[in-house]
Amino acid sequence: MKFGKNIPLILGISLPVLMVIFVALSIYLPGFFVKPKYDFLYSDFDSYNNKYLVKTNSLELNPNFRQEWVLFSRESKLYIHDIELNKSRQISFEDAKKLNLDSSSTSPDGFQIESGQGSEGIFPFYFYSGADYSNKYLTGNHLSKKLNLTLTNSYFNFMFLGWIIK
Amino acid sequence: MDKTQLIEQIKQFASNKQITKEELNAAYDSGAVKTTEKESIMTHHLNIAEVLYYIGGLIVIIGIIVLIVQHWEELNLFSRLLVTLGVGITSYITSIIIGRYEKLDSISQVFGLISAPTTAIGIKFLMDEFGVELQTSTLLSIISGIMLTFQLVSYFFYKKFIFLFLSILFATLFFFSFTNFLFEQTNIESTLALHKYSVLIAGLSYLILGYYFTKAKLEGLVGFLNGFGVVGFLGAALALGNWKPEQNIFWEIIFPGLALGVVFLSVYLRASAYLLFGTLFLMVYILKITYEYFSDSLGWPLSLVIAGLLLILTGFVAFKLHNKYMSSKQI
Repeated sequence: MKFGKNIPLILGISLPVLMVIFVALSIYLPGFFVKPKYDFLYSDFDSYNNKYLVKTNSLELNPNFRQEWVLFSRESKLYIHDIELNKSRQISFEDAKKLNLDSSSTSPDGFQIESGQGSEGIFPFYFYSGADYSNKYLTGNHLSKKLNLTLTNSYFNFMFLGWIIK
Repeated sequence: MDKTQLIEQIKQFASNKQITKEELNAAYDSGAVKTTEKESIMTHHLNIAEVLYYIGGLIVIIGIIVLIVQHWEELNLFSRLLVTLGVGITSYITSIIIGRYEKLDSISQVFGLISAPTTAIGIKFLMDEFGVELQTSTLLSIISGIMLTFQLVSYFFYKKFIFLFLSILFATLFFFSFTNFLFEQTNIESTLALHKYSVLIAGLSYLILGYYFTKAKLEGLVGFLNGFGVVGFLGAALALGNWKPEQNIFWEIIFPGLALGVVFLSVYLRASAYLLFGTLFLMVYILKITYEYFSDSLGWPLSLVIAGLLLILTGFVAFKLHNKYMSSKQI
């Protein structure tokens, strides 16, 4: 009797909980079955004045690079993103030169790196929310996963250099 | 055991001198007080003095926020925490202490109201000071999660209306923050539609909870839940229909059914919020559909005339329903 009386209470609380579970499953479940294989190299510089470029599968210094055009006199850094751990680590130019790189936008196993679509949130909770323009996502093969890059603002200073072929 | 059996048993106990009149009176009073207290907590209607208490409470909260914004740079860590977390904790303790006195219960609830936002802002500053840098949705999820737990525990121990009300508010904030955190983990074009579904589900949840609190005689919350529930549910359903040429036919077709369902439920539930907002949303829908689909073919002036007549009809039916079923009771 008491259970029957409390059905609306249980239903009222369960509905949002079920939605959260459903959304979480639809986002995280593909990640259990689809495993991207290729790590990638990137720099935290803008692509209009890039210090590095990839030529014949290896990293080189860009001869057209102009240090005086660099905003805020910031030194460019190179990073390897470990796709399995979803974590970046810094690498020196000398070490990066030794990597075998594929600079095409799609990895050999069919993944791409995209910027967030961006969308308006629902006032008053967010003026702007959802997949942010400044976030980067690994997409492809029914997977869309946020990348935890080491950048202050990836919209302006992310530069993809190449997939690391082992 | 029914009432007659109980009275017979009491007579028998009394004749055997196993129970005294005082014991019986004490047992009756204790039961009666419990029922009255529980009912008064939730079925209480605000009087003018109480409305003023709550307005006063809101002014205090606004004052604290203005103080923080205006003097932020001049305040050191201790002062920042004092005006936020300090005020929050002090208000909470005050609320609990004076809540013991029945006559001061309303003021106690206002202190409970003051404590919630100040404590939440205080937690945010505390996290800033410890160098915790998180995205907005993550930060809001953590803070609203902490506050929700805190309010639920407080309600469990003190059974005060304000703690139940704040639990629902923080649960709502947690739901929106956490779903938004999840939406950020994926890069799909339809994030805005997902937000609309969140509002739809939250609105539906409010409506069901509103029904529960009506049935459970906890009427203090019903008006709030019904009002925001109907607006959230129908607002999201209308927004999901979108606008030509990107309209969603499913939601555009189903919407009048939902709005009419809400209007007719108002009769069954005797809830005027259902009738008022159901009618208003139906009117908005009529205008939207008229403009979207008939302004080109019939011409805008003729479409306006038809829409106007439909609005008059909708308003008339709503007025009749209100007079027939709701003049004696309004929620």
